Amino acid sequence: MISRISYFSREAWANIRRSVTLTVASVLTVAVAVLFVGGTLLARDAVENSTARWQDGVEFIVFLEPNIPGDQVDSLASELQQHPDIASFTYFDQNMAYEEFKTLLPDFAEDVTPDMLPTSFRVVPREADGDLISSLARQFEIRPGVLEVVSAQENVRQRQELGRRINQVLLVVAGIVAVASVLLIYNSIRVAMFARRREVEVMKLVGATNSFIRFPFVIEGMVHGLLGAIVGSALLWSFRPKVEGLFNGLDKVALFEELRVTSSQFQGTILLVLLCGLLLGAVGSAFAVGRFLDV
Amino acid sequence: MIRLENVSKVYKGETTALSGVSLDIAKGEFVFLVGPSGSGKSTFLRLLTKEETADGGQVWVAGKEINRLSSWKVPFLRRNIGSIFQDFKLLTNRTVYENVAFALEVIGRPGSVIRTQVPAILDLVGLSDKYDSFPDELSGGEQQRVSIARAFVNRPLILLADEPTGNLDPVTSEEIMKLLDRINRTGTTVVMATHDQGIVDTMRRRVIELDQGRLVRDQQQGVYA
Repeated sequence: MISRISYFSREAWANIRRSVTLTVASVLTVAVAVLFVGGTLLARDAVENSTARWQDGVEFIVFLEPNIPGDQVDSLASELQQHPDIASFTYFDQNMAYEEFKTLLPDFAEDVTPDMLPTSFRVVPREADGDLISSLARQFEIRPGVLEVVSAQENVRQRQELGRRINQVLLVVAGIVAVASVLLIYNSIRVAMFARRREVEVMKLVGATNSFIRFPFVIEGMVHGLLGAIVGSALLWSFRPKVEGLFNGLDKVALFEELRVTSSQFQGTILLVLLCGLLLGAVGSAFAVGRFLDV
Repeated sequence: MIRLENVSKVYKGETTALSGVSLDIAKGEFVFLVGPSGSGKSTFLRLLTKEETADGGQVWVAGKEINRLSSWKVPFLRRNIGSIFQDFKLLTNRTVYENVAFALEVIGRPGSVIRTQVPAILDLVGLSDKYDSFPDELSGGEQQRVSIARAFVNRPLILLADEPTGNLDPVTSEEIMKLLDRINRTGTTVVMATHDQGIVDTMRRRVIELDQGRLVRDQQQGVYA
């Protein structure tokens, strides 16, 4: 087992050194491909974060006063229940509000406790019509126990729409560059197999199994993919503060509406990006060995 | 050990390489395969390692009918067969030791086996003092010894030799034949395709002659023609 691992790693390393220019080309293309893939994921996360309270048709939020008596909450709930223009609503207690706060603004979570946050109703109206929503907001604003009513503004909707479009464009570009990187890896593996055709001939002659012959080439492709993904991740890491600053520095943006991603979302994206790089490498090299290394 | 029944092979639907060949080669035999160029000698050898597959008839090697052998089992068939060639097929970027070790390495033999088997076989072929030489630094005879060491290091049941002396002078050829004879006497079946009349006539072993893909002679203690 150990001798096999050392054999495979020696072979893969020798191949990478043999065709440095092709390796560099493959690695950089993978880096750009995963940069776009990561960018797509992060853009989606950022837009979702900045509009998190306005998902699933929620058009306005009724924030309740602290220390509101339970019967006032119940009567507001039953009024919402019976209102003909309201499709559905959700009650957010302080713990749910705290969970949301922790997800969206983890950096400030330490300074906040659940009892500092207001409870609220998240309301989905029958139609997302501006006049209807503002009339509903006016109705509930004056009810006892209501702190304030906040409605989704036009800019939230625009932001969601813009996010969707940016995502589509990024996905298309990511797809194109991913195809290019698979083809480049395919070609560099083909070159590596050609450089080693004498070895491959001897291996077949003495009875090496197909998988044994193919494995170093697939490993090599995956190393290309992983190296590219690491470069791409480094680029994402260095671009992150700049891109966040670009959007959030323009004007004063409300605390919950900043375009930003949390650390755990960023780490999750990096993990996906690394897997994506490995996958691109595996696909390109598997394609090459499948095509050119038959018995 | 090797049995062919009514075997035929046609390339691209027109060139007949073998037709209706039936024969039996017992364990431990030494067989010369003779005949003019294009008579089917190489095809015969390539059928035994399943580099080619017969179009008709049956081929048994080491107890298995190899036409029906699934492709993933072919490497394991080849581990029972050593092959040597006129052009040696050595890896020029590896030393003598590495060339021989490579054959064990790529079939997953552990390092301890490699470290005992490779010196033993290099000793047998008389290259104990050439471990670190590269093939280009060796004479033709020495290169063929390396290739025999590589073919035999895994102790195969069968050794196939395709014109092993084709590039060598008569004196060197004789040394190679002595080595093959020695390997044969360990119980290994040897099948050797050759054009070398002197060798065949001196050795007086079983001779199988092919002509245009047909078996035209099968003679014990035979001569070249």
